[in-house]
Amino acid sequence: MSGAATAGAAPAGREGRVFARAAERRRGERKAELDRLAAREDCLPELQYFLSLYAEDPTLESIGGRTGLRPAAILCLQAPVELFWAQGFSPVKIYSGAYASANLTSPRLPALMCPCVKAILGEMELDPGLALAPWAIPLTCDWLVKFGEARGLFGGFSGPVHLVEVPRVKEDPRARARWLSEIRSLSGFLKDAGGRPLKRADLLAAVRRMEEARRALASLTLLRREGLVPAVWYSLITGAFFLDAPGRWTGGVDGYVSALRRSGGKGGEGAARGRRRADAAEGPGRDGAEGGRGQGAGGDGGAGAREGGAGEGSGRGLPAGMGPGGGPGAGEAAGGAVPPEAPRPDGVYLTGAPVYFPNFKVLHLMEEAGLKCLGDDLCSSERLFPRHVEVSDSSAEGLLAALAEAYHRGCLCPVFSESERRAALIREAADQAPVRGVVFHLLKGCHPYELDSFALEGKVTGWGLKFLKIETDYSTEDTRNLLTRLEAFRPTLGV
Amino acid sequence: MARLHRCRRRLCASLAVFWLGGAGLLCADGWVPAEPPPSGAAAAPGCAAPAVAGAPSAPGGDEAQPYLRWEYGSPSRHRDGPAVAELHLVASDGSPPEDASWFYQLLPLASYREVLRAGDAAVMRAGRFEGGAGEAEGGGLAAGGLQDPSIFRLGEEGRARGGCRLVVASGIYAMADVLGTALVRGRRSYAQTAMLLFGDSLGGEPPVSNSVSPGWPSYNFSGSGELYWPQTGHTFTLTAREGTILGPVRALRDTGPVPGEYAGAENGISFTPAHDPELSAESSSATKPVYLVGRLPGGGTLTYTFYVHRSRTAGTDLPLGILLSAAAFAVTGLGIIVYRSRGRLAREREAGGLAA
Amino acid sequence: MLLKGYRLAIQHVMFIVLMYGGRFGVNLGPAVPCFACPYVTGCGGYCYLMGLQGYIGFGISLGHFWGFEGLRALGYLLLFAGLVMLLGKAWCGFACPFGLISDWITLARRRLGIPEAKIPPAALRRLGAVKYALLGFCAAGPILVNLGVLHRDFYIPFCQMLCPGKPLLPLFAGETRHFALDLTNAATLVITASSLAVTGACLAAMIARPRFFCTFCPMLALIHLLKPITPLALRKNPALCHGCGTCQRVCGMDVERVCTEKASADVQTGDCVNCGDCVAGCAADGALSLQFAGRTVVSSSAGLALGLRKPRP
Repeated sequence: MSGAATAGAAPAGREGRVFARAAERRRGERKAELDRLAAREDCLPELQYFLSLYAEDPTLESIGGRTGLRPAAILCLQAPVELFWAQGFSPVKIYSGAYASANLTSPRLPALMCPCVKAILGEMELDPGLALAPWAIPLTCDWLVKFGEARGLFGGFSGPVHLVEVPRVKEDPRARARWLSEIRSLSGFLKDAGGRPLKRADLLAAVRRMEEARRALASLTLLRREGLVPAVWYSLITGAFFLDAPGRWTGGVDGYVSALRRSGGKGGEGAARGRRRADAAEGPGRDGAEGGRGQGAGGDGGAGAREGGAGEGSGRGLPAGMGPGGGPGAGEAAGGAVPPEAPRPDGVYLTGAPVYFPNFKVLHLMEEAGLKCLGDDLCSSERLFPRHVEVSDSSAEGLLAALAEAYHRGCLCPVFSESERRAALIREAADQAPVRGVVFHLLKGCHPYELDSFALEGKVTGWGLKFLKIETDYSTEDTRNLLTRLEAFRPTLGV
Repeated sequence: MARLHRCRRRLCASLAVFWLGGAGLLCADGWVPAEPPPSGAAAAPGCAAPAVAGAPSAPGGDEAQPYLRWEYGSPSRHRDGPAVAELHLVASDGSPPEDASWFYQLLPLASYREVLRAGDAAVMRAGRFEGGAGEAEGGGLAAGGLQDPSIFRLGEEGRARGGCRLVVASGIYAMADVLGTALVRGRRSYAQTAMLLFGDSLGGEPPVSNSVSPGWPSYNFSGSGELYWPQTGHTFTLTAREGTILGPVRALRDTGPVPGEYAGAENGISFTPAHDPELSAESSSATKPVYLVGRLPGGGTLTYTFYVHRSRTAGTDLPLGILLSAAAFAVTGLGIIVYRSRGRLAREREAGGLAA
Repeated sequence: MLLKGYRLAIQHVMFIVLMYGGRFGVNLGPAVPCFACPYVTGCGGYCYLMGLQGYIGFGISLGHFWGFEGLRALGYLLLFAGLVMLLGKAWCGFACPFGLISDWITLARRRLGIPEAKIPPAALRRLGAVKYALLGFCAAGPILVNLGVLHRDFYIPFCQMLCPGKPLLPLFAGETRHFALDLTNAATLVITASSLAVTGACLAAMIARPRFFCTFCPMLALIHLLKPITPLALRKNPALCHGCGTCQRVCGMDVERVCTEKASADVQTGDCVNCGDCVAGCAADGALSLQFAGRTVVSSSAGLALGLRKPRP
């Protein structure tokens, strides 16, 4: 989520100039990424809806206008979205992948701090309106625990803020009872902040709305497992969930899914054909992508994305294998037909820290390196909300308990005392799709994820999958290094 | 988990001990007789020989004229399944019956009602008791050999006061219609009874007819109400079969007349035994004998023996039962609501919130 | 969702068979491993608990044990074991008429939005042991009758005094007599009062909690004792479990182990009735499954949970 910089709120003098420069760079990053995405061959017309949501650079007010509900800012996703809807709020997950935003606040924050949190604080500087809204902050990682104090360094909050204490032990029944009381407490806060009292009918309606959204996302995920949905589009779509009313978002996803099915994945037909010719020409295991590298988030990837039409072997910004019947097991070699059942050896699973718009650097680099991302467990992407909430007790209490439990126990964030079950997602994806390796995306300063990476590596390699950990931040300085590592990782997958 | 496994093993062992050994340890003395099964249910082991409740009295009965009657003895079951019933043909005053003979027909239970109407019979055995006094075998067992380990007890020994003893057996569910006759104080008297035999042998076959009815005076006996087994409060009707002239009938037992109500029936009489507090205090399988004694022209008697149980329905109160059930429902429901309300109050208290 | 639909259909078919089958010549025998109540006139089979109490209570002498009586009782036990081997605890989850009544009440409660009563896990574990005590009572009660400690009217103590099926199930055959209080003597008064009080309390509790009586059911305990020979089992693949807790939450018996188990594939605890609700609700492909002799009958599916896919074979 990002807010537009309002000229009236920017400070004056040198600081004002810094702010203005940061706002300008931030706009540039967003525009560059949007242009790059729009120029892709696989940009179907149905995706324009999602691009437009980002293009208007929404504020909380504009989101409230679109959803018809009062916006409430949230960080992290342990607080049930349905609860907000039921009480008349539109939850807006505040995030940012803008390097300029992170850079704006860096001088007054620890160097080795989560760049996402820095960027959020930067967004709040650029859009003072953010601080006015009601905030619900789940106290998950240490940075969020200190978020209130960190914000205090920049002026604090103007609106009501509720801290949601998240029990770190999921299996303990006492912890679950505590979490349920936290959710009730959150409900009380929302009511005090001007929302409706929580009623069963409203909660039931919210649950049903969310079920529709989940269903749509699940059908998109199924196509992703077949290799038909590039990671950038998937992340763009999930990131747009909070920018519009859920019904319209669901409709947008369904439209895209239908379009993909109709086209049989022909969104990137020309580019895919070209890519496969290049692959065939250069031999197996060799990536034919030559150009379009070195372009990280916010860079001029647009040029590379525009190239690579029919016949072009360039991998610049082009999705791999997005041809007719594209995806694992499908493809055609130059001048001939590859049996559709032939498995592609380059499917990977992305795990680790979230990837937020406009910083799709890692996703683009993976594509450029020829790695097809068949799934992920990022909380910005596939793990946006709990996969499924089965409700056995449809009373108000029962619904609330079901939601609380699903959002808590179903959350696989490493901040919990045990997150070994994250490996289950990888295992499941490996059963569903030809996943050959795991790429662990680590943001600098995130200790829980880093610790998790060691345990996960042991498990994953034990299953015969390859593992690669890449540690980065929002800057573009390490782009070439990362691409080299990813390109070197790719040949190991087919072994 | 280990503890649960140990508990489970112990429970298995306990069940085995109870079932295999515990029951066996209680054989011989200490057993109580088998329960006739509820309608439609699987047969209980043993036959329908009832227990005799109440204290036996001194020989007597109707002071005017002693009568002949069948008395039930100890029921048993053979190891291979047939149900065996013991009957004693005795005079009410204890005098030894003379010139006694018997006849019984064994009818598969399913066809019993039809036989009453059609006069047909599956097995009819007839014989004479050898010797005047003491036990005599009538011969003609339906199935199996004669073995007599008495397993099921009536609660009290059947009396054999110099009467005749008949043993009837059946390998299938059957109704035994038994007639006997003897001279009691020089007068020809008759006794009749019918009893259920829940035989359950593996090779049980329906009996076959091989004799003819002797044409003795006999009754048709029927009961009203729930035909589970004869109960107090039910009305039992005696009508005369063809060739029988029905005289006045009285319900008697050793202690005297059986309390109850009489009413007329077409060519017969009906009797409703009154509810008996002694029987009610016993279990449902406890019984008391009722001898329906009718006078025949010529001074003899025709006695129908049946054993009456306590009423299964007289003491029941449906509205009270529903009320009790509803009260339990209400109390439990209230308890759940109170428990929940306390929880809700606590939740509302904690919904105050935690703000930065 | 599909599994739930199949289960409901099977439950209704079995209800008709077990409650009314006798009127059409159906007789599944005297060793049925669920509440096929003999008190229902025209039932299609008889609950083994009644037979078990009967064989113990009516008595089999040592002399006759090795004869027909003993063979027959042993035969019924083997028949019971055979039926348990056939369906295992699916008798409870898919066939038991009383279980279906519980499920009807639960469905009605959910429609009305009445919240479910939750019992703390520690208390639930303690309560689960009651079913074994009741099973022991089924065995001990008739022996106490034979010893003369209890009045003869207590001859089938569990069925008469404690089973809520005895008054409730005959209602579906138009028989109300088991709701009557029997004032004939003190024993019948105690028996019927106990039966009616337990039934009333159970009904109220069944409204608040799904499958309430199954927590205490001695038949469940008896079937669970035969678990080593039962091919049908609930199995888990811990490597695929996300730990979301859905299985435990939707479980009518609140079985914790199905979620918390991380190492073993065996999650069929003593309280599990093999209803399959956990399998239907689980959104992790292949994490939970019902297996028969190691072959998967039905397993969980992410798509199935969201209505996107057919059940996995």
